[in-house]
Amino acid sequence: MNEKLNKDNLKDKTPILKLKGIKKHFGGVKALDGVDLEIFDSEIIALLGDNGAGKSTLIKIITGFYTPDEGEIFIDGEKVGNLDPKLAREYGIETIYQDLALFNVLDISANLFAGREIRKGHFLLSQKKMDALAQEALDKTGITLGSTLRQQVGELSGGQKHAIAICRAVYVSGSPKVILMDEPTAGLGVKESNKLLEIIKGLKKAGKSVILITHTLDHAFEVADRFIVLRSGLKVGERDVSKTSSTELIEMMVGSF
Amino acid sequence: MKNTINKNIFIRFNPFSSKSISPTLVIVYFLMAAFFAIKNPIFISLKNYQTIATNAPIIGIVALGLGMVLLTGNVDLSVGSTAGLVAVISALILRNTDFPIMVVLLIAILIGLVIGTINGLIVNYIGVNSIITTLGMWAALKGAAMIISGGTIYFSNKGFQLISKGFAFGIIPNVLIYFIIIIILMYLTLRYTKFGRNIYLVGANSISARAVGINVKRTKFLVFLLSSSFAAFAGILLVSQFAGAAYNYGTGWEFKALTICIVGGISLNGGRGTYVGLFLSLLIIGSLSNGLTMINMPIYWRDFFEGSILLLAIIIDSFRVKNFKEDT
Repeated sequence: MNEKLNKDNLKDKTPILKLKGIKKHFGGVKALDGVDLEIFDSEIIALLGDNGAGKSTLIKIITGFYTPDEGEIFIDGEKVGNLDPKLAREYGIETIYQDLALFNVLDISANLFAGREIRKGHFLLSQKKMDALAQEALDKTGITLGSTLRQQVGELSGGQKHAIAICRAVYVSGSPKVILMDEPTAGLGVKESNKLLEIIKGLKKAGKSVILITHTLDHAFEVADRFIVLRSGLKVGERDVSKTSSTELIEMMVGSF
Repeated sequence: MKNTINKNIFIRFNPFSSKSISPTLVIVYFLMAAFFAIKNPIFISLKNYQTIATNAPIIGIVALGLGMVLLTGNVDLSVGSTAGLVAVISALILRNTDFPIMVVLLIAILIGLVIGTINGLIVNYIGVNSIITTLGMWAALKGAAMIISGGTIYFSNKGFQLISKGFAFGIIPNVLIYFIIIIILMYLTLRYTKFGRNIYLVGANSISARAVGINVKRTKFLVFLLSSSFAAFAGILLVSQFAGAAYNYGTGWEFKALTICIVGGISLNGGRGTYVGLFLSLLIIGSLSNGLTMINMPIYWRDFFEGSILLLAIIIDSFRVKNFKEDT
């Protein structure tokens, strides 16, 4: 495996996220067959691969939704066993899932604060505080929704739903360290996609890292620093953005080298 | 896709709309009350309201517990048999021992908690569908009640009867007060606590709930405890009202409670509905039985009538959910 990577300046830094030998199978299907990964701060990784390569599974393992059958996860150099979604969030790992993981029958505020509602003490909700912060976060996301916070999310358009998911992961979460995005531009129009790419670049500037799954190589080339290519549950290559091309990446994804 | 808040009056009062069902329920109640009142003016007398207020709150308490399970996306069909079994066991204890009222009450709630625990464990930690699980429990408890009672058990304990037959301030039936306390507690829990919010999140989308770090299994488990213990409490209230218990107490309660919940806007899909709607729904359903008696509808017609209402409510509920346009 030819790793054309400029790792010199990263050699002594501790990766914010490190995966070693991750394996995951579902019944008889091997989704991931031993994947290693390192993410450092202020970088944008594009996770590429054909359908079924294991990209979503890998994301779900990083986010705690799945538990790996084998392998280790290190966050900021510390080994983390039994990662679950709640713990992952506490570590600063935020996710925008492919299906957005929203609650269609609930309102915008409830969706934004889902799972980490602001409370008075341990049991009581602080609805006013949440609404105020929700409005702030929505403003930061830069989208006008033209509806109240009590609007049901299911009634919003696709682009608006994406905006809510992004807002939740990026702005409501406090200070996320790594943000995972599973096909965030799928189903978005040109304007909205561009806005998202701007947000991603802004995250990098703020010192955060992004792992991006996308099938649109143009988008990947626009924002990514590094590409990681999966095929059939294995990592078949890593490339620096400046040292590769679409052709090479596609060949790695499809397996003709 | 259009993105406007619809202030159109036809949406607000439209039972097929996905918005709040409460305004519709208020109208339905008044229409129904007017209908019964015209046919038989006794319907709107104080004495009649007291009658309604002595019977309806008991099934209402069952509905309050069942509603919590429905909100999480499950169902509990064992509530009627739970009430029945607890009624039989309580009456037996009262007949054969000198235990004070409080102890019997405690035992009743304990039985409810055990039943709820079993339901909750099987559905959430073993993974059996809640319809099948609670149906099995329904049958098992019914059988148990038959075995234990073998007929009617009478007891006489004035103090005990006062729990259910007494009137606070001389006019308001005690059971109504218990119901109001519980419904206020449940409403506050659902609206202002983390546990209540978790219930809605889990019911709205249990996978998303898991993704945002909520302990879905635990939330879904705990509401079964509520459902069964409320049913147990209702069972004791029933016993104290009739000074005895027969094996068939609580029969049909699961369907009645289900009707009250669904008419009240608690969706079978989970995640939707408030206890304001449930209160109004109890008002309607509770008055309905009474009203049908007032207009002398034959008993065998009533089951058909009440069953049809349940069916209608389920159909309207499914329209309300479908009315929801999903874009992605």
